[in-house]
Amino acid sequence: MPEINVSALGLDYAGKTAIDDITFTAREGEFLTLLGPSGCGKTTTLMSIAGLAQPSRGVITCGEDVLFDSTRSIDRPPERRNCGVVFQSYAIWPHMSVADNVAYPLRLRKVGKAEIARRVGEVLEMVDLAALAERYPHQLSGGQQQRVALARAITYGPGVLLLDEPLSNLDAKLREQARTWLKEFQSSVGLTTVFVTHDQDEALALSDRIIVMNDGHIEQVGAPEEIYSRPNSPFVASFLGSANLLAGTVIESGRDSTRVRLDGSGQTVAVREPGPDREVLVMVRPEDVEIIDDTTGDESASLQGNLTTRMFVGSSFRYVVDCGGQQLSVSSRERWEPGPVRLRFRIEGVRLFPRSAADQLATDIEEPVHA
Amino acid sequence: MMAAPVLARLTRNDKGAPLDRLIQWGTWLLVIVLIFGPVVPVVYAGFVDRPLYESGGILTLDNFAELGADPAFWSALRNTVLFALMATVPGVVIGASLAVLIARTDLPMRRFFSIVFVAPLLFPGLGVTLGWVTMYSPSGFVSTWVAENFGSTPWNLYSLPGMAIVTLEKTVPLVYLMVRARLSSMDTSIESAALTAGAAPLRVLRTITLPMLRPALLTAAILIVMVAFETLGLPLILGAPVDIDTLSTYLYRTWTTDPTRQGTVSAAASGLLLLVTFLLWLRTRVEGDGSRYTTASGKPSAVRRLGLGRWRWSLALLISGYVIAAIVLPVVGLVMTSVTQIFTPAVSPWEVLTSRHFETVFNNDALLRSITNSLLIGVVGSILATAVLAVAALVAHRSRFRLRSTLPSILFYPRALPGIVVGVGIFWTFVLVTPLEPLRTTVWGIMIAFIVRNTAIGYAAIQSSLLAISTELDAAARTSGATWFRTCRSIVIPLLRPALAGCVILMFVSILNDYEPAVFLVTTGNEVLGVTMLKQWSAGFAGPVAALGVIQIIITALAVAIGRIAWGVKLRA
Ligand SMILES: Nc1ncnc2c1ncn2[C@@H]1O[C@H](COP(=O)(O)OP(=O)(O)O)[C@@H](O)[C@H]1O
Ligand SMILES: [Mg+2]
Repeated sequence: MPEINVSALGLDYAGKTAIDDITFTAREGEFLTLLGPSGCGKTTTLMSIAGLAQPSRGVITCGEDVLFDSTRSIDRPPERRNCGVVFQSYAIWPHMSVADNVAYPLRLRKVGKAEIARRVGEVLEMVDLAALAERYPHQLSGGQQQRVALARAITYGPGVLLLDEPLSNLDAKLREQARTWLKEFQSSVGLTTVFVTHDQDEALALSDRIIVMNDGHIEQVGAPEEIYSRPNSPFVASFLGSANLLAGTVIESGRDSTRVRLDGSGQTVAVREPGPDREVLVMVRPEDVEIIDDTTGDESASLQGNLTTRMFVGSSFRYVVDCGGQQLSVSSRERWEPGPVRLRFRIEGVRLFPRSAADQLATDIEEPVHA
Repeated sequence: MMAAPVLARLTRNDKGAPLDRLIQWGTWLLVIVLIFGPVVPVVYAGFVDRPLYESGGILTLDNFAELGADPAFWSALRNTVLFALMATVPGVVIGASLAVLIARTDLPMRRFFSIVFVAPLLFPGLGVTLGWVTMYSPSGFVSTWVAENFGSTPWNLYSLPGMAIVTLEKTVPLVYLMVRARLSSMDTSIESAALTAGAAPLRVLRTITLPMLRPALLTAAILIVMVAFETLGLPLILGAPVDIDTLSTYLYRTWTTDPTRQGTVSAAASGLLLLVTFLLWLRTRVEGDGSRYTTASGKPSAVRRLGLGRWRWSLALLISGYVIAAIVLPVVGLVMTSVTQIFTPAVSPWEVLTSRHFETVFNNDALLRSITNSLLIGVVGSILATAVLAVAALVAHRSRFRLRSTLPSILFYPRALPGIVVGVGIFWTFVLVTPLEPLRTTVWGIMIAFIVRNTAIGYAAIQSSLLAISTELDAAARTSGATWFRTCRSIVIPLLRPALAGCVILMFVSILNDYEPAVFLVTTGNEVLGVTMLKQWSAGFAGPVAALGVIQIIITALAVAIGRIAWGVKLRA
């Protein structure tokens, strides 16, 4: 299985830049995810690899093959790129049966009848659809259609697998199931896979590595746990999971111990990393905040606040705590009543960002609208 | 799930990509040649000092000077402008009112009306004009009846206003369709809001709905002006007997009666072309570039209908009156003329019934030939045109061909080609391009002229369906390893089949009913229906004209029925 190299890729639509300076490598057999809000350029990036979008600049290679190189005017047509693609709409051809859909790439390659039958059978077996081979697309459920699309994409043995939000059209329950299935499937086939999604949970659960994209560029690349626990921008912090971002001012800065005074309440918090700037945002995830009884009087490492709202979300409670005008979201299994509380941050989970980076927060990310 | 083996990689052979480019370039060039081929010689002939078939022509502006010095030209221009004005106002008012009433109110019999209103679009123009004459000319049925009961008839068909009235037959349905399309894309909640604010229904229509329709109304008005400038048959039949010339009849008469003035005709034709092109440009500007490409969005929001209250039935009655007077009676007149010795109020039609006119048609070689010729070029032409238009649409919307974005505007351009200009142009092309010369006296030359003239209709039908097919379906085929052309053949064309069938039917009907581009091309042997009817009429034989008109209607109805039954084609304009 080859690896895919994308370097300095950019694409402009009528003067507007859709993606810019995209550089990454999908390693052999890796499950790599492009994650970002709707419109950030994920599909554009993926379709550039497949040859369905025409980049304005950059280089794309797949193993030894140069698929695209703007300086050398190389632009291999999609039919010669050997990319298995699963589209967001699945794009199953409605006038062909499941078997015909899956056999189509084989027919193009002039494979013998018997071999086609054997191979289609084998692939449909892999995606648990052997019994539905003669059905037509409109007789299939969303989950089954998605698997037909996958079967069709791998039947001829493509070099890489490109998936554009394949799970987003399934309803929530089915999506969960399909996610597990897809993960097992990919690791057993061992295909280098580039997966596109706007769903952080999906990305975290499936990926070997995640590329977080925003507004046409790459924000951060890394393993899921790494990106979750060490986001390098407020955008990434708030896009993956939820994050409290508190405005504050650095009052004491060391190499691995910094004190920040929070705006509003004027209380201070300790952080184990250097302050990037004087004006900062303190990032802490809801599960890294602990609520302690206000009456214990342990004032050294804690903040005072007022618990205003409690929501039960099934596995735990979600609280909103007001700290001098700044709202904190806190997750806890314990039940607390509204009123004055003390909060303690788990210090490994606290990070600092320069306040200037806050203008592209991902707090109000819209669900993508699919045509 | 089984443990999945890694699939062995299969490779494909790499033939096919050059074929893609060949087809794309070939289609583009063919379209350019077909559409602009006829235009070039017309314009050129206007600027040389002798007929194009004589060598040694010198570029000159004399033709235009001569045209400007011809008082007949100026009076034709004046008549045309008046005719356009008189046709536009009632056309827009009636068409828009009907559309609003059907789409937005609880008018009774809406479904029935909505079918009847557009039916005239499928009627042959000349046959229907004959029907109007039998009913409303000074000696016609209705006129006589009115004169007997009220002393005189307040109208005269053989005049500019008379021509304007008859044009309503074709223009009202066009306006109706355009306004309805606009209405169905408009949210009714704005109207509901005004209602809840206390406005009376008719007031809502007047103060809310109508103003929002303004762009559609303007577009419709421009369209009618274009029709008025182009149309040839109607002014020829109603204007010529009383010496009223419009631009197109001026062109036609000058060409047919005075061969030495072909330069002047060409100059006038290029002027007409320029004018109509300008109108088309204006129309597209008004429509807005985007809306031309929008497909019907399938938002099935319930339409809130305004209650007409006590006006409900009086309006229905009024509209029924309009339907009878403007749609039913002319067809009745046409049919009666074809089955009677003479169709006049002076004699009871039932006493002079005859099949003579149909016998004449089937016994006269030239008349019969015009039917078979029309059928032949209708069938062959509609299939050829659909094939070319389908590939052109695929190049325009489904390829990366460099000049793809030029194709839709080129294919829509013939809307601005007056039939008579296409005729002159094709004639010159056949005269000038020696290898094509043999085509000039065949039905195939006429077929090409008809196809060129009607591309926009067929292309619009294909395009709207093509745009509704997800591009991911062909992208999936490309990434599976199919070349562009293979993708088109195996994926897009099969999905497009209903639209292609619809295009064949539309093109067939258009070719069958068209005649204007052929008036300069017809000689013995390549007669087509419309031109034969025109000539028979000029010679005073109304009966055979009516018989041909009835046959034309029957063939059209059969074609539409076949499309509907065999392919489930529903014609939407
Ligand atoms: N065909 C197109 N023409 C113009 N702009 C486009 C086109 N396709 C995508 N864009 C723009 O490019 C940007 C990236 O789009 P896309 O890659 O589809 O985002 P994503 O898949 O992340 O939601 C968006 O701003 C979108 O509006
Ligand atoms: Mg997308």
